[in-house]
Amino acid sequence: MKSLKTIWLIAKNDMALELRRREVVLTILGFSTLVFIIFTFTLDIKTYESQKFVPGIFWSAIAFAYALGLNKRFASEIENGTFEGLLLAPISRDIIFIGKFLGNFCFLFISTLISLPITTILFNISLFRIESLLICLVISVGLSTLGTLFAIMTVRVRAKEIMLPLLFLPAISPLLLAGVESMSELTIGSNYSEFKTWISFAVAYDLLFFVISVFLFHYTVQE
Amino acid sequence: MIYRYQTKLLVSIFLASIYFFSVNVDPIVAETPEKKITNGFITNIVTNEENTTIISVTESDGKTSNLKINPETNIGIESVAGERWVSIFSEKPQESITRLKDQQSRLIVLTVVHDGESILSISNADKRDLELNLQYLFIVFMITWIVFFAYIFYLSRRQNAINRDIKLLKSQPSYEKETK
Amino acid sequence: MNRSHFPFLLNTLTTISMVFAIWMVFLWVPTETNQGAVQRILYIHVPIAWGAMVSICIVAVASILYLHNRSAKWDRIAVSSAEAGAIFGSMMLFSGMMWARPVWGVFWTGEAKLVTTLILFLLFVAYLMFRNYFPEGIQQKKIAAVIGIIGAIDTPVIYFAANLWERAHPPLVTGPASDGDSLLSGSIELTLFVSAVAFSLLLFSLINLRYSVHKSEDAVNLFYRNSSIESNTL
Repeated sequence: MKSLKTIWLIAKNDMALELRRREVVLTILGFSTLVFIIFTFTLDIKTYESQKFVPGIFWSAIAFAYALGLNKRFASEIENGTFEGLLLAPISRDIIFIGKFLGNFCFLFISTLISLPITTILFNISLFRIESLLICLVISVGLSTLGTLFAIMTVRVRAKEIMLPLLFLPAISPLLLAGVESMSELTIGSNYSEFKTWISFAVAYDLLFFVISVFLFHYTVQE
Repeated sequence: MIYRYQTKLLVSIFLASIYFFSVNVDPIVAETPEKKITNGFITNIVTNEENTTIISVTESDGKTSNLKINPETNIGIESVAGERWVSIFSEKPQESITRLKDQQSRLIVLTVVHDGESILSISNADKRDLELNLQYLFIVFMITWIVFFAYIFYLSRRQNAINRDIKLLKSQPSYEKETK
Repeated sequence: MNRSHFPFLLNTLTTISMVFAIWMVFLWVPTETNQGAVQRILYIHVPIAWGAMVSICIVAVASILYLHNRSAKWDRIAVSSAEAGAIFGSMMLFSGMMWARPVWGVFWTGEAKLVTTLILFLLFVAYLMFRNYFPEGIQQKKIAAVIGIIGAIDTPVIYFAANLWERAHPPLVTGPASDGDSLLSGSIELTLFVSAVAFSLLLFSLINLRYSVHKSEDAVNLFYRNSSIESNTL
């Protein structure tokens, strides 16, 4: 189980760094909260019609904020050369990817969990349910998988601030659909079977892209 | 670089994802019933006791069919002002019946898509003037061809530049030296 | 009939089939009674959509082969195909919007095929922008191949998701035109088929043209890198 231990080490390192500097989680949280606040002005939140849009607002804000946070996270790492140091270590590339993915996933999951009560307060809609936890978990896994892969690929590009969102956001659109639809079924509709359909779709998406990313990561960091 | 048990793990996760996908594959393409089209105007709208609305459509050769409107019927009709109104019958039943009665009184020809008994959609059989909206056709074809020709032009310019470069290289005496 | 005749043959075949297809679309096929003359946009919209799908498949296959072989030929095919696919995708969206406006009154219906093509177009654009911005080299090609593969795998997933979404939010388009491929009579199908053949050949000849430009540029680049001569145009 040496690989599991290595994965945990890499993830723990990232989390320890984050606890000290608190960059990524604050970026994601701050940006998404700002977007929520802007939407309280621009949408008339008292009406039932605009409450239908709250899951969409939630996941859009999280997606944009995560793209920003990913940029920030990997930029400093590549600039200081620590990532190359990790590549030089005698660890398999998949282990590195899974370790980085785990770190990113934790940041994103914590940020979405904290955004849930913020959205509940701002929009008067109850997103505080057990199923929300499941949705956030499943969608965060998918976002982190593709996010980590794309971030490591694009952070060395000249125009990384536009390159990462341009790649990342179209590729994760099925996940956004799944998140919005399943959250809508929670809060507005009462169609539990649709909720299960979307969650299982998101799980399938996560599994598929996790496997593909692990296989393809090997090619993105070779020199 | 991947150990065998890791490969097996990854392959099994991949197969699990395929399973999850296949669980979701409901018959999205259900068996569509045989679709028939009737072009005619409405002669009668009747709502019976079970709250189903039956309309009678008369075609140009005098044949009348009685067809039932069900809750999923799509309705897309134009008002007198020319505004297109689109809805599903179950969402606005009263307004749909009012608008259909308006179409009936103006003797507007409608296109009714049905399966022999219940209606799938009702819409205006417009385009009495077959030349209508020709500008859209023109714009689409013109822009498509302009884009394709612009791309080919750009590529041929690049090719010419490279050919010039190659010719220049070949004419220089140092080319012979480099390639010997 | 050696390999150098291949481009000429392809271009000639494309021209002939395109002329034939345009004749069929404008002069042979009878006008449809429901939508009028605008329905002829169908004969350009569907084949271009088909061409965009074909080009993403070519990108995927070429990327996989490139990662497997490291032969530059596959990478060139992938780039050419991505460029052609971007053009075809944008044309499909444009013609789709121009067709939807007079027939259904809206520019954008929330249909699954339209959403899939939009995302596909964005992925093509992202692929090409990435290749432009990343410094040239082996790593650029490898990462671009990875992007191509992920984009190609993502597209059917997006189509699936959009179909699922459509079940809950049916798009408001009505009338016989809404169900694109029912009620096709024989002459319409034949014209569509000929048009599809013509546009596929156009796609292949565009890919071929771009590929040869790319190949020449690569050869000249290699020569400059190996020698000491300054370049004029590169």
